[in-house]
Amino acid sequence: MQTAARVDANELFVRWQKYGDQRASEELVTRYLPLARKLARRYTGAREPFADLIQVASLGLVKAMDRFDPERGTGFSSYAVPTIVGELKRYFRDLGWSVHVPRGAQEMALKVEEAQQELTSRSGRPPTINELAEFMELSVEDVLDALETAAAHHSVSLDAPRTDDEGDSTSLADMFGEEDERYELVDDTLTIEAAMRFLSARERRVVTLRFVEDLTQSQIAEEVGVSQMQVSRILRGALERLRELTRSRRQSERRRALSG
Amino acid sequence: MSEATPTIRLQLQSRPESLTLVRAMLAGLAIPLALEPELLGDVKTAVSEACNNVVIHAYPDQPGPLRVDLALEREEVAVVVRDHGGGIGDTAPAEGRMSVGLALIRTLAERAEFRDAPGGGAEVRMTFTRRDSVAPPPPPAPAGAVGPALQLDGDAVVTLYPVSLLPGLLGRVARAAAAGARFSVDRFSDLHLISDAIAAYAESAAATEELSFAVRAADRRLELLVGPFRPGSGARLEPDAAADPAFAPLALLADELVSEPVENGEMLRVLVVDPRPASAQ
Repeated sequence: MQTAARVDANELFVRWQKYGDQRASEELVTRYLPLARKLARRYTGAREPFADLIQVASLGLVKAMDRFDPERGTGFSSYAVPTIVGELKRYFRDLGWSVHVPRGAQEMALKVEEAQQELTSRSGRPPTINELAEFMELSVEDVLDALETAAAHHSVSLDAPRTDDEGDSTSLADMFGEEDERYELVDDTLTIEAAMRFLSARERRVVTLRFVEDLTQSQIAEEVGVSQMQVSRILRGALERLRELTRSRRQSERRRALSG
Repeated sequence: MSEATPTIRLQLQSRPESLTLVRAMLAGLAIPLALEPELLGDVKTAVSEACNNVVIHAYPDQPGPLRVDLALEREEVAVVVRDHGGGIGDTAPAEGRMSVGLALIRTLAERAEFRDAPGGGAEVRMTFTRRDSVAPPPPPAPAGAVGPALQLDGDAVVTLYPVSLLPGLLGRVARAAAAGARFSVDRFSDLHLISDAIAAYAESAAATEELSFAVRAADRRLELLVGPFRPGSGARLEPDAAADPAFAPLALLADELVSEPVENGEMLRVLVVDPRPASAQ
């Protein structure tokens, strides 16, 4: 197709659209496929393989070729880009990935957790984020996203049911009795040690190991028999609870100051 | 009740790896502002392209300053990406040989403008329509509370309003920087706890509704500078007896914690180092 390469794109469009010239159509595809590939590349991520997106983008390219009107005077590229992007976005929408927290993200978080344990046992030290990304053949950003998902937990509200050490499900508010009594319990001299009474045995252990014994999260994981990411989640949950308790205390102080 | 628009300014150097920080910052906005995922995806893609363009065209030889301003209006998200290069002629070549990046910006944004910036350099202005329309109402701006923006140094400097945006932004940006500074997942998780604690601290100690933070990271060392906080707030972070349990983890996990006086209060400087583990090979 050496000679066709010099042919004006508009002429190719006329030959394809008016006369159904297959060779003109092939030449147009050859010319603009790199554009479709570039756009597909922009949307490729951990959960969307490049090969799939190339197909979607190519479909968009063919659609644009059918609908493009060379008479209008705008270049084909500026017409094709929105069409191809529209096709890519529709693909995501159809899969439901962009609508709510995707199940794919949870799976990815799990995979990162596995990779992390694998790499830790291989080298005897916790991996860096870059090492994880390399090992999993993902971008650093994908690994960061997966770690965000992995670290996410519902903040423990005082009314959220929780299981105590005996396995009885109660809410924190129940444990503390009436609201005002709760504020009495959480007195002004509350230290970490005092606030720890309100944590589960496991949470207490993990918090002590990290803050008092100064073990790293990986060391704690080994000691307690869970993964480092679970340690991270337990710590965040426990600290969130402590924060809620002290927030209640501050509110009650403020209330007392106002009424007194 | 006066309604002020949540705004964020991110300043950094136009290094290729800065893109991760920009995208981390945008990801950190999703939850506090209830941005739809599709809109967030469009903003991320378009802003990345604009920043990429700056990296490649505005400063072809060495990194230069890059600024991203976001305003989250009720109906739309407005973003300006600005550089101090040779002007729009460098940044966005003339129509006709338009790059895929700029074509993408035009496609994804409701409106896009490429022009010379007042005072030199180029700017790309983009507006995205919000379809959700249920933006949470921003808190009223306390009269006279928003002082002059602090001059901070760092790989990334973020100025934001209101304070409620801090938790998402600080955590995401700090962790992205830590990843670039080769933190292990262990210390990375600690950083999660630390940034949570800073956010809780900011909620109770912020001197104004406008806060800034700077991130500097290299070689397993991450430094955060956050503020301004009310004078004397930092004393509550003492790890000793009177420590507040909500903030004590910050004192216990950070390698250094310093409150530095500034004109309108004090800044909190937090250093987090990831020591090479003893069992490393």
